[in-house]
Amino acid sequence: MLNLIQMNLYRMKKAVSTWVLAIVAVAIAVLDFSIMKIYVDDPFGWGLAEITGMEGGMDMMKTITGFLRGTDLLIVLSIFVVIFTNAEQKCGFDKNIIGITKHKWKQTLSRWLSAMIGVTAIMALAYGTFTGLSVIFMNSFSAGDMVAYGKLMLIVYLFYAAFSAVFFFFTTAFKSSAGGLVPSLLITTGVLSLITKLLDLGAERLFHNPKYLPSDFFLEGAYAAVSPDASNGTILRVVVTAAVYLVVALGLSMFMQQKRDVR
Amino acid sequence: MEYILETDNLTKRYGNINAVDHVSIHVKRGEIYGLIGRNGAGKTTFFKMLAGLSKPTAGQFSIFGEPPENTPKLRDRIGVLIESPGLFYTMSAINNMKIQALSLGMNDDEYLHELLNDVGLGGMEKMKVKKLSMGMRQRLGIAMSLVGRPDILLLDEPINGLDPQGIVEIRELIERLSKERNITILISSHILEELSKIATRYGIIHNGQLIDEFTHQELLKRCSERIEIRPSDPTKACTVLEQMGITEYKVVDQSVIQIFERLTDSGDIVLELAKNNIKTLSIAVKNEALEDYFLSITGGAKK
Repeated sequence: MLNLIQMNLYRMKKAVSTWVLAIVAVAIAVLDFSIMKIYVDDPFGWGLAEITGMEGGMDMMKTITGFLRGTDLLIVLSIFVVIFTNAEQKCGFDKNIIGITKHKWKQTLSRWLSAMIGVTAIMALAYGTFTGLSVIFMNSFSAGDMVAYGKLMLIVYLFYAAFSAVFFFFTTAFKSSAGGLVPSLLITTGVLSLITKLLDLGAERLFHNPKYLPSDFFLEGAYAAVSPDASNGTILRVVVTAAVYLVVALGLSMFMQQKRDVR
Repeated sequence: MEYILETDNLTKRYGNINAVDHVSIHVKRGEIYGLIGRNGAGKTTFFKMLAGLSKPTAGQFSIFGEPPENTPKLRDRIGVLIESPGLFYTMSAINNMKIQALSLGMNDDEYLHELLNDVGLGGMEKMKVKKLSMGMRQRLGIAMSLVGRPDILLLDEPINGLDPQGIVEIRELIERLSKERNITILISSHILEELSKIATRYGIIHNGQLIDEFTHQELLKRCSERIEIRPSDPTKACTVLEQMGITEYKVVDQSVIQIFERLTDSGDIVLELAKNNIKTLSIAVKNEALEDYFLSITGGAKK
């Protein structure tokens, strides 16, 4: 399996799409930083810092908030995962290598692990760029509570892993970039959340202020609940939700690959 | 007899259709085994099962005398080129080779360059695959299948879509690999004429079934010039032929006798049969082309 990971990483390094998406991720970080700087500096005196919770100077924790506010980085990651995952199937390279292991699921797992290394690298690039720009351009940048930062960062990373597993699952199931991208983009662009909100309304009507809503158990709904101010109960719920999605999506992908023929 | 590859009633069923139907072949070390069949006959499905891409519905096969599931490491010793070569078009030839090598845990750049030289792609290592001709891509695909230093090479329709020059190049390459590297090669095609120039043994697959298996010598014999005679009493006619000293003959469909020797003595044969009160209903000297032979047996088996 290590051989396959090594092969996948080499392929990732040589693929033009990897570098294009890495540049896009950096561009997104620059754009997000610019927006955040406007919130913090509030040059027009509109009280933006107060509205957006950016008052009181900039610290490491707020660098995460900058990304949590939008899903643009998640969109880049979904495109990366789909393109990277589907490349072998698309060109037929998987036929060259799939017979070399008895357990085909190992190839699926190694591909996802390799994709996760790419996701981690792109994520690190984007967060690194954002943090670097904050250190250079923010007037009052401080490290802040690094323990809380580390905790939140881990949760965000878990969500990226879970989202990647879901995008990976769609691409493996549909065996095409389009089949992987369409549901992935429906999730990351928030289209699916419109449907879950509708389900929430229905649940509220039926059960009158239920403790949990359907959207709480959708991945993008749980992701939306991640914030520096979230309660321990909420954090536990979103972590469990992300972990379940991660395990189920990855498990199903491996099961499918093991069972089905390569056409 | 040491068989490097054996299949025993290998079957693949898709719904109600038997894509491969109880196929049993035996391939000896060093042979070039040509699997011939029309498009959709089941060649690719058969190769996919051998390559581990598809799970057989029934039957089994062994490589080096062992079932592949017992010895997954043996899979490394099979090079595969199924349908079209699986290549990353935006990458260079050498990078494609490197990707294949890394997946097998190999890291020997010198060997990869050597392989590219062997298949006639020396000097084109850094050229992007999308800029290579179809024949070059096919040769690159073969080079990639050789990366793991295989003992068996599965080549499914490697000359498909190639121009005459490309076909000759691939044929020469396959012959060279067999001779110089002593690789056992299973090659499929729907063009018997091409396979007849390199294969040492043949299997004809039709509607998923192996309908005939023969050696190169047998093929030449079957397609060689012959007298075809339709006597009124074939059994008695055989006795007469043997009395004349003719031993190289074959009875087809219980009514036609094919004679492969003394081709200029058709008059004597008719006379001798007449002396024994056997009428000659028809007689002709035939010379069947390989393709005609292939069509005659697959056409005959067509349901």
